[in-house]
Amino acid sequence: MSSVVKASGSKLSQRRKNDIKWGYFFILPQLFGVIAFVLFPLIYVLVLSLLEWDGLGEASFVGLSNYTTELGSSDFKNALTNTVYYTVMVVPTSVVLSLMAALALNKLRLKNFFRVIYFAPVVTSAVAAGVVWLWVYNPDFGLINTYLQTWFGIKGPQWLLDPKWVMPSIAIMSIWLAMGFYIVIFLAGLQGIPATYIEAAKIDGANRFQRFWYITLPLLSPTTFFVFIIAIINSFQVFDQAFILTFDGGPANSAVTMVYYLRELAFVDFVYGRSAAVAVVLFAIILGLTLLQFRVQRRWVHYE
Amino acid sequence: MNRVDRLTRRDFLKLSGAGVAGVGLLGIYGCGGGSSGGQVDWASWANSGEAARFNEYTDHFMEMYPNIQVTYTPTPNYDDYHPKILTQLNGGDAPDAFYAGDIWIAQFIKNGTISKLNKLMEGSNSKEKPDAFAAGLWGPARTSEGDIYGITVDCNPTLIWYNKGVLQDANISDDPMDLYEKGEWKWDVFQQMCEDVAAKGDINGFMFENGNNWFYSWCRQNGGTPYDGETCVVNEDAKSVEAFQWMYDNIKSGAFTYAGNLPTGQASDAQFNSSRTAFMEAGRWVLPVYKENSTLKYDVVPFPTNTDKDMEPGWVATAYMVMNKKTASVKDTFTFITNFTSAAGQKFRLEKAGNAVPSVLEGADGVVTSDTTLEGAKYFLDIRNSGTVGYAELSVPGLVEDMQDVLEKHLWLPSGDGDVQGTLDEIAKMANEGIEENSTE
Repeated sequence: MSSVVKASGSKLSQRRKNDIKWGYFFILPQLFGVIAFVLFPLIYVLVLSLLEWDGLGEASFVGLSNYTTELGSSDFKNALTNTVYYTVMVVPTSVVLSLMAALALNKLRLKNFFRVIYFAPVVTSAVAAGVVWLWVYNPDFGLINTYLQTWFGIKGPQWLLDPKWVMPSIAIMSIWLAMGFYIVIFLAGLQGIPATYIEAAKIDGANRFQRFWYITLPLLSPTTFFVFIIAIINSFQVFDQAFILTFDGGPANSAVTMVYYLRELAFVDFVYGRSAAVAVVLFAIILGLTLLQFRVQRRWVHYE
Repeated sequence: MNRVDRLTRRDFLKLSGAGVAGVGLLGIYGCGGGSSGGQVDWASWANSGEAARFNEYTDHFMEMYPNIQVTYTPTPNYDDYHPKILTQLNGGDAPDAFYAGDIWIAQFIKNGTISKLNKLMEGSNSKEKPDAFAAGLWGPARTSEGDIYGITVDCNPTLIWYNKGVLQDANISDDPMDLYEKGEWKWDVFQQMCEDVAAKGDINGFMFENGNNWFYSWCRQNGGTPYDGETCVVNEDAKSVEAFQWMYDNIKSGAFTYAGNLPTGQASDAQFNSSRTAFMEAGRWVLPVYKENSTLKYDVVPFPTNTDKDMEPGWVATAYMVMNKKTASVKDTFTFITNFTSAAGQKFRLEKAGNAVPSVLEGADGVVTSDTTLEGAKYFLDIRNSGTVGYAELSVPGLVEDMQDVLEKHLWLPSGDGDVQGTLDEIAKMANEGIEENSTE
């Protein structure tokens, strides 16, 4: 197909115009979906956060009072603290473990087989996985405590029944669920590193650690940056694992995360306005963190 | 040479895309439809067994009333059910009749989305008049002015379930039901039994559930009155405070095991089924599962009391059938509701399922007494006749959960500070403020 040259001041050819029209026509259903199911809900939540509404009756405008109520609420602070605690546990651990696994898998001959093994949890339903992990965490006859007692003579913790152990329990399950996805991304990143750099380093006498630290890691930094962003966004939005493993927020609400909390506000307490306000605050936090990462990435992310 | 007109690839793609988009749009606009006269849609939460029975009842009703078409939509998970109904009410396509839980019905009343039923219940079309139902079951479905918004579909009076095998293994020869019949089923006896079982180390004495209804039931067994009308006085009523202290002391000593955080499938009913606990508190809803376990030896007995009486008012769990205010046919919908909740309707539904107790005082008790699995089955009816659904806190969305969180944090968890009076002061304040705020809105 010959390219259309648009001379300055001249109109597009009729064929080009037709192409554009048909292009819009083809994307119309998808555009409709984006407007109806993405843009409209976004705007609706923003508007709802300024209203007091119980889901059935009349809504009344209350300005920013939903925000002031929630930001001063101990339940909100508990949810935010739990979410940050969860993020601090899950993100560095899953990134580091995924990178280590990817590095190991990159060398193996059966890497495709291990990729499937590690990726299997990613494609498993979080609900199904949660039900299984509920049994694994049973303090009396769950797998973990049984083997801790049998092999090491250690009495395991109460896991999901102890406020101190609930969030670490959820974090462990989440790391197991998500690692496969990050491993696959890291593997792709590792395979994009030119082998010539590694060979040149070997010739220059660099040992394995030096090759990793000075060549592999910097060249992998765009991938690592991407994984960090995704991991942080997912961590702040955690809900499935907390809900399935605890059902009611755990002992002393120690498993109530931000998304769990805003769901309770809407569907248990019938305060949709405050729920929307929490959703907007969560959005702002995630957006802020993402922008911060983009700003900081100039110092440590190296693009070829 | 003339150019031959052919269907080019570009044209083919355009036409195909237009065709797909057109079919898609037709599909969107072609969906939906309304119901015509003589159509009643109803919904409830239900496990697979219950849903099957409800479908059978629906077919049975349509045989009785061939001019009314009825469609039933079950929701398997109780937690998903009410948000779904709420969404449907918002969207204007809620069922004509639907179940409403005791915590939720107050919300529906407050928002004017369900109809008052007094006139209909007194009319000639009604199968049961209001006084045919146990008085204590109305709860949040009947306002203080006497307006009825929901009819109890059936009920589940709660009792203590005891595992005979576990008691035997703990060398406890006394049978709780025999003790009850002799008037000796008291707190000290119950506590001693729990301690003896728990002393073995790996078996629980009594699985203690999280729930205000359970706690208040124990308060009443001590002669306490946690509420004075619509005012929570659990912190001022000495017998109620004493009951909470007793519960706390027993959890601390290990005689009771706090079961509030156990996940579904590992909760007290599962522990009982696996003979890992001697006692648990529940309604008749656990019976179908226990019947499947041929090795399980069990029975039921009323809660032990700490008063001169053998039985004090217990907690009765229930749900209500309500009418959507926007139903297309009030007459047909009420015909369904009144038949569903009548003695005949409850008898039909409960005959096979066996997991609830009729809420009508006459005409259907045979479904309980004819089941010989439990010698103590008659106690379900006694508790139904004397028990209560709950208190004014049920009418405030989210309040009960908040109160339970406070109690759990301070009293039931190992990390709790054990300040019974302080905790009760806090929940009473929370309850009274919530109830007052809710009534002025």
